[in-house]
Amino acid sequence: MMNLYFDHAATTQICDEALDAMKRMLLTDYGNPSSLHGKGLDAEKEVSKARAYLAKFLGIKEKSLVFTSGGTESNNLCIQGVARAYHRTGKHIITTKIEHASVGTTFSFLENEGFEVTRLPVDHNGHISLDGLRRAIRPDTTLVSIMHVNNEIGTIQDIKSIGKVIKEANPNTLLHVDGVQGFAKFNIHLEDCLVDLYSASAHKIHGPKGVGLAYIKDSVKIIPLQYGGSQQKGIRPGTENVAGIIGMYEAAKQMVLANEEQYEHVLDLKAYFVKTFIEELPDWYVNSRYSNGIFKEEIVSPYIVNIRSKSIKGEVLLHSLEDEGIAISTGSACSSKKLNVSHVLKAIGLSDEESDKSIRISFSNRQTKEDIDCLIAALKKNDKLFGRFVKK
Amino acid sequence: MKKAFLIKYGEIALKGKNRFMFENILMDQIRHRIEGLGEFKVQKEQGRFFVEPHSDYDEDEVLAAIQEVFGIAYICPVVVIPRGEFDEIKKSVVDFVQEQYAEKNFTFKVEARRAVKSYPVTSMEICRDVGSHLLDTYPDLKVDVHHPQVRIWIEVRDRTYIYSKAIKGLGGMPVGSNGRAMLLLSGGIDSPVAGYMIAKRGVAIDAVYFHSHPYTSERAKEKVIDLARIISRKTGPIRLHIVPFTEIQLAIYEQCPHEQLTIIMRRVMMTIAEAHAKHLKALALVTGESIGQVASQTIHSLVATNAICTMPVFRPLIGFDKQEIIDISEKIDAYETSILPYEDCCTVFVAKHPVTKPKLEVIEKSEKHLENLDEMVKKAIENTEVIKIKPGQ
Repeated sequence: MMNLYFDHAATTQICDEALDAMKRMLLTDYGNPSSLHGKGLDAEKEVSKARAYLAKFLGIKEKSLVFTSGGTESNNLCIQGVARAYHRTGKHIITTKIEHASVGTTFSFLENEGFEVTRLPVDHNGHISLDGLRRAIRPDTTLVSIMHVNNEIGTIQDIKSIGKVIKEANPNTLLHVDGVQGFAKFNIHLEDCLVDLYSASAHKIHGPKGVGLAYIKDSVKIIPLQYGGSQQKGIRPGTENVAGIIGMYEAAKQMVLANEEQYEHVLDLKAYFVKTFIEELPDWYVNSRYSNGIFKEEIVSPYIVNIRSKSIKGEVLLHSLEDEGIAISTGSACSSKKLNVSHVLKAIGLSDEESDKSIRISFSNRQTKEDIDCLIAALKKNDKLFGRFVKK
Repeated sequence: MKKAFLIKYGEIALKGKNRFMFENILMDQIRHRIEGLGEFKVQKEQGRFFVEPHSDYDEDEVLAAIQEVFGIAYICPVVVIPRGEFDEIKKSVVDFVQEQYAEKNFTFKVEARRAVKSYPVTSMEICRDVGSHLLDTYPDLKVDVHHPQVRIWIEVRDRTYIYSKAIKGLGGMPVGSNGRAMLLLSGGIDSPVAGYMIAKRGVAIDAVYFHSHPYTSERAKEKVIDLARIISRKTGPIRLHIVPFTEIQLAIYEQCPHEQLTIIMRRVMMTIAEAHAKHLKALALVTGESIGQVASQTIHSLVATNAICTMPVFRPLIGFDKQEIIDISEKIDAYETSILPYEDCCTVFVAKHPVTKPKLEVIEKSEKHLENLDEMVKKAIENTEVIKIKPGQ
């Protein structure tokens, strides 16, 4: 059986470099960075090295980088931490309708706590309107949270322009960017883009699970999620996940080293996929934005494509592809009897029925055109097997 | 003091000359259930069983295991002493109270029974003398012969047994005393409860589940395996038959009137379940149907479904409300698993307005449209995967 993995937006296989470095940290340099002895110092040096590298890559100061347990924690820390720290200044916060659950649900929680939330709509490509954003900002708006790259359809928001619009409208409004799907895949200079807070995760870029980072600009006040020792200035107390941090550093380094080349490769892969897909499965649709098979890399990520069939439920397709050793993803977890509706696809104008028939395919630079051919062949086979059973 | 468990059984005590058969099955069931929890000797003695440990064991664990055996009315943790002199019995009861009750300020009554009538002290005398001895030792105790807080039982047999707690068992009849039936197990709330209820009457259970891959997920299948495992704690080992049903379901979907889909599907399921049942020498089918719960369970639909069966179909939930079924489901720890949201094959292609008053002739006529039904059924039976599920795995 084949073993083809097209679910890299969910998670990735760890790269050798990260694995080797982590093994070394766990077996040899296993000290606690807070310990006073030599072993502790060695560990601290390793963490500092990782911090320095990642800070430089993101265009931020080292002291404003905090390591966390991953994207969800980083999003919670940034959003809850800022909303609470500034609640006397204002209780209006803004986000979009296509955020990941770790942002969306955090906003809903704050809404229940008494904050006023504006959720910006998106156009059929998944972009917010800059004018709409400008109009939404008020004197009491303390935070705007907008994701860089959408996890379901790959839409890239123009963070640079967003930063500018926000600061023009209200210089005191802070900008948080959920960078989980974009981190180390796209170059972004956070300070230049006027970003105040940023979240990223290691396991989406061939690093380990359970580690991520948050950028919290040094001038930004924040209330921590948990209390403890003075690690990471008390913003995120607890012994650092040293092996995880080093794994993240190595994985990011590999991504950055090969960046240009691999980006081109993935760009090629997706273009090839869409071209073949349109030719071979004329009844199907691409939900993600593309034009004439040529991608505008500023508008959509080459790593993600979202498609839908005319009649087959996404979950049925998922289980059938699974039989052939192909892993893909549907928008969200399965649910009996109800349609499987993605809030992102709904926001870009798909009906519930269309959303239920959609699947996400996400690539990695390690894949080849032959892999794509296998995927297309499997989709065609399924179209033939199940395509005629339209729900009456 | 040596400890043991005294087990009182319920309904099988009413049996006549064949009572020993039921007793033996129940003893086997108890032995089976406590296997691996320590070394025990299980023996029969004048209408009760004694489970005597011969190694270390965890009392709660053993109690919980025995409580899951059908056919038991009460389980009493007892202290066993040699039959001995009456003075020794009195002393042992004092020790028993000392060990079992921290606060000695309750009302009590002593109940004695003499299975050995040659014992020199009568039951009445035992009650009276032990009672007064207890009052002398623990002055804060009080006697209340009508509504005592604690009843202290003394049974003089080959040896003497002292106990004061009786834990209620599940009742019913020991599994294996009443043949075997095949349960149609879906991932829902009803069918595990139905299986439980029939097993409670002493019927051994096997199960059949219809899997429509890729329309139903592996998780749905895992859920059914979990449910079978949960009820197997009480029903004993289950051979779970996983029938590949996609081909048949799609054929019905394509070739039969849509609003009759569920009825026709259920008729085919019954046919397949019966074939597997016959193979295992099971004598009946069991379903979780309840009149009027859904369109396929109206009295008309049940008649249409039933018409295809040649075996009796037991429907223990037939007169139950949903909430009553849920209550039992919770009691047997199946509810949490039953409500996991994985689609089962019944809901995949369900019609918006299914027939609620199907006519058998019409259904039979629709079924004639199905090409190769017999071959498809045969293939589904041949390709059935059988998973052996044992309690405690």
